This record gives sequence, structure tokens and C-alpha cells, in this order.
Amino acid sequence: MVAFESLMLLLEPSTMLVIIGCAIYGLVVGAIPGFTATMAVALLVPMTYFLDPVPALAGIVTLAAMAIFAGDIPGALLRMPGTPASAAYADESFQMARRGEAETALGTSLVASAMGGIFGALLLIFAAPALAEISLSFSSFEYFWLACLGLVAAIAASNATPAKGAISLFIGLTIGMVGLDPVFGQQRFTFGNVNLVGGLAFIPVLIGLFAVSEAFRFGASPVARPEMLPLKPAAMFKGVFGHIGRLKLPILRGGIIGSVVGAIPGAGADIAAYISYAVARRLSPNKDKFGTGTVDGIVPATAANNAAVGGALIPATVFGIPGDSLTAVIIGVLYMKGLNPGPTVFLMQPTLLYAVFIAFLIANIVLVPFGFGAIAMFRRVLSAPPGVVMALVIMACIVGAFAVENTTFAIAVMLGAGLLGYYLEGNEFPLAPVILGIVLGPILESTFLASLAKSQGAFTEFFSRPIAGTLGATTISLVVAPLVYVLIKSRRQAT
Amino acid sequence: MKLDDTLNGILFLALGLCIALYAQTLQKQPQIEYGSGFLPGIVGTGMALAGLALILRRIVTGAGGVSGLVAFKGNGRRGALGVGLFVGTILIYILLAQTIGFLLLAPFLIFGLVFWFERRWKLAALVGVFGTLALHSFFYQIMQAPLPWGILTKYSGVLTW
Repeated sequence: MVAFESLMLLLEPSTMLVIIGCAIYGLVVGAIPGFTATMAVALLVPMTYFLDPVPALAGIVTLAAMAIFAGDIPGALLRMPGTPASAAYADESFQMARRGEAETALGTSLVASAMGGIFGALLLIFAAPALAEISLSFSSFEYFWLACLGLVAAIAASNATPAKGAISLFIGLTIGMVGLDPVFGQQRFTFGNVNLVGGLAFIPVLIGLFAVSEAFRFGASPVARPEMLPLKPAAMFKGVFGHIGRLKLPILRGGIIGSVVGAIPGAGADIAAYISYAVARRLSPNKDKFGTGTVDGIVPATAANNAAVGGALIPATVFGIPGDSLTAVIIGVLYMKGLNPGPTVFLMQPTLLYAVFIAFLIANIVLVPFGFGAIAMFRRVLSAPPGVVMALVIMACIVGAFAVENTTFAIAVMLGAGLLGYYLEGNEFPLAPVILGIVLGPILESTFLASLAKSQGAFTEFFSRPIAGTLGATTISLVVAPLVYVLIKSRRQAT
Repeated sequence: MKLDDTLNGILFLALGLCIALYAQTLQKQPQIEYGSGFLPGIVGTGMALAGLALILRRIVTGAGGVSGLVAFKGNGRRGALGVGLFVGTILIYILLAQTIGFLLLAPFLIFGLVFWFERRWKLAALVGVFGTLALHSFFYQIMQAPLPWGILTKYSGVLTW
């Protein structure tokens, strides 16, 4: 009954229009090299501010599904992955395209992406409510450890050195602390500026970090796009289903890896794709062909990155803990729409939540025709002069930041965040922990102080409940294990 | 712009210490030991330690080095001007949008950016005009988001379609 009502919500003409618009937008932005799915969502968020919750959230998840696949297109035809999630196998598909097999590379990639995405969506639909039921018994202790786990995993999963990951996280936590303290209501880091009392607005910070910084990078070194390799879209599905049938197990394995890795806080679609590619390379009977351009390498990895989006939505909706920067943004939108993510949403507003889940499932099903259209139109997307695209992106950023807050201070915040993002990326500091820190900081602080008040200052209480204790032990071991490993390694080297 | 990790480390060591010291100035609550300064204290200390770790890593392993301590990636002076142009565009909008209004200011800003990167003035002019109209139509007319009218305020009724 709930599923039917949710479907009806999605079938509203205005909602369908938003979803289709977001699908096209996601495919275009995802296909532009250098733009990320998070950037696409960041630019869309100001618009969702003026939409109802269902079209806003359904639009965002549709966009995410489309953008992650679209990144494969320039990866194959230009050797420039459209999004970081496609980087793991971009060389593999480019090698195929160079041999004149671009159609096979992109056709199998498209079908496998859709299959991986559908797997992730189904897991989300069935696992999230079950987990939500369990998490109804969670207290502030469990939420505290979940937030800690999210933050620690964000550092562990980032590609940067742990010190740089930690610095990014602390920057995010600092940004999240500006304004009124969520527990005592005292002003922090406002320095007498009334504009800062309400905190640094999430959307301008987000746009600055992910979109404006990209414009700055383009400004510093505008890159002319290389000529794309030839492609005959009409021949795209020739022989594809033979490969898909042969590789159904690797696709399933990619879906599982993607969903699990995606659900780990801090690890996103890009890491899922790398892991899936590495596992496929180890287990494949054709492992000697890896690196020379084979669908055996492309298919499991592309299934994993699309499944990762569904996986990341599980902790985001059930616990309010983002799986990656993309779901951190989705959590921000949920809060903006007055829906506090957590198990109670499944009880209070199940129709709305299931509408979002079903939208994600549908997005992955229609990915095949939409993705085919995107591949066929790619030459046109690529012909847009980059200077024009960036000029319009920067104006959309300005308008978006202003529109949401209705103050020029928001544009100044966006500019500051843009410069920060430009500096951080240029110096190999990861951006994902920053956004996770902003989202998780207030949860961490309020649950810590609430737990402390409940336990009357006894820290042992933080480990007294079974799930809290397990989460606490996992978090601590994530911090301690690498240190022990380094210590043992250095001792062995010394002897 | 890429800094040597020694500089990055010093920057975050100093920033972390400032945050930790600032946390000491925040009031504690009378009933419990922890107040508003608790999390900032942890964050500041953590940032300072991570900054220190970055410096030590640079010294011990040599990783994260940049010759001359600061390196400018990209197209040298033209690259710096490109970044400056984006920053300048945003600053000009902040300073002038309320007075001049979106519809009159945005075409010039877009024109400047497109002309700088594409060197085609006709294209820049077209994108300036039609890009502005598209953004205004989408955000103001369809999404009903607020945009400043500036000196066109008295014509806003006529210009709203």
C-alpha cells in the first residue's frame, strides 16, 4: 500500500518533469570531464530548495545514478573519466575504444551500470527498513559511536595521507561549529558578526567547495578537450548481452562490493569501483587481458560504482550518517526539507521515503535508454566551449547561493569555501571528510553531551550497551590498528 | 597553488592552536565539566597534532615536498589571472548586484568570463545576453527565487513574464 502511494507521488506530472530534467542534467554534467556527481548535486541543491520534498529528493537520486554512469563516456572516448567513480577502469575502456570497440565498451558498461544500480536500489528498499527497525532501539550512545565511526572511516577511506584526511575532517568540524552551539546555545566563532550567528549556511559552503573550486581550477589551467575517438551509437548493443551473460557473476559480485563499500561511511563510488576492479582482476580467468582493454575489467567495476550510490543511501536514511560526500548532500537536503533522517522517518513519513527509493530504482532501470541517448549525444556535449560552460556555472553558483539565503553574505561564504576547496584539492587534501565533518559535527557533539549527561560522566557507559560497545570497539580499532601496523613494520625493518 | 607540506603543516599547527586557545575562552556549564568549548578544544588540538604529523612526515620521509616551498600549477601568470577573474566576478557581483541588479550586471560578468577564455567577442556577447535571460527565467520566473532588481526595480512588474 505504501509502495503504491509512493509510486503515485512519483507519477505526478510535475515530479516526472523534475526527474526527467534531473536525469538529463546528471548525464550532461557527469559526461563533462572534471565535473563530479557531487558537483552536479551541489549546483542542483539551490533549485531543490524551491521544490516539494518528493520531486527534490527523487530528482537528486536520479541525477546521482545518471551522473555516475555518464562519467564512463569520456573515460572511454577521451581517456578522461567524467567523474572520479569512472577512473578505475577508464584506461581499460579507452584501450577498447582505440581498437575500434568503443561501442562494446560503452554498451556493456551501460547495461552493467544499470544492473549494479538496480541491485543497490533493491538492497536499499529491503535492507533500509529492516535496519531502521533495529535502530529504533538506538540511544545517544549508539548514535555517538556511529558518528565517530563515520568520521574515522572518512579519514581511513580517503586516498590522502591520514594526516591530510584528518586535517580535512577538522576543517569540516570547524565550519560546522560556527554559530550557536547545538547544546548550550552559546555563540562560537562568530566574532560579533550577526551573519555568522546562524552558522555558515550549508548550501553556499557546498557550492563553494565542489563547484566554485572547480571553476578556479579551470581558470588556473583551462584545458582544451582532445579529439574523441570514433563511435557508432547504432552498433552499441551488438554482442553486449553475450558479454553480460558471460559476466553475470562478476556483475553480481560488483553489485555486492559496491553496496557494502558504499554503505561504509567515507568510502564512495570511486573506492567501490577500484576495489571491485582489483577483485575482478584477481579472480578472472582472463586476468592476463586486464590492462589491455577488456570488458571483464570494466563490467564489475562499473556495476560497483552504481551500486555504491544505493549502498550509501542506507546509512544516510536509516541513521542520518552519510556514506560519502554525495549522501552528505542528500542528508543536508533532507534536513532542509524538514525530514530529520533516522529510523523515525520510516515510521512518520514512509510514503515519502519509499518514493525516493522507488525513484532511485526507476532511475537505474531507465538508465539504459537515457544512457544510450547520452552516448549518442556526447559529441554535442563535448562541443560546448568550456569557457562558456564555466562562465554559466559560476553565475549559476552565485545565483544559487543568493537565492537560498537571500543575502549577499551567502555569496561571500561561497567564495570563501571555493578558495578553501581550491587550496585543499591543489594540496592533495580530500574534500569528502570536510563535508562529512560539517554534517556529522553537530550530531557528534549533541550525542556526546547527551550520553555524558545520561551516564553522569562515566565513560564506561559508552561501552555498556552491546551495539554501542561493538561500534565503539570498531571505531577505536580503526584508529589504533594502522598505528600498531606502522609500529610493527618499523620494528621489523629495524631488526 | 601547491605549498610544501612543511608550510601546510605549520599553517594547520598554528590554526589548530588558535582554535584550541579560542575554545578555552568559551564558558563552561556550571552543572557539568563540558561546555561549548569541549568540541572546539578537541578539534583544535587534533588539527594541531595533524599539522605536526604533516611536518614530521615531510622531514622523515621527504614526501610532500615542493621546490621553493610554493609551486604554481597551470598557465603561470595567465592561470593566476584566470583564477583572479573568477574571484573578481564574484566580488563584483557581491558589491554591485543590489545596486545595479541581476539583469544589468550579469551580462557583463558573463561576457568578461567567456571572452577571456574563448577570445570570441560575438559568442561572449550572445552568451552574456541569453545566458542571463536563461538564468533569470529559470531561477526568478520558474523557481521563484529572489534575484536583485537594482535600478530596474520600478520596471520589475513589466519585466516579469
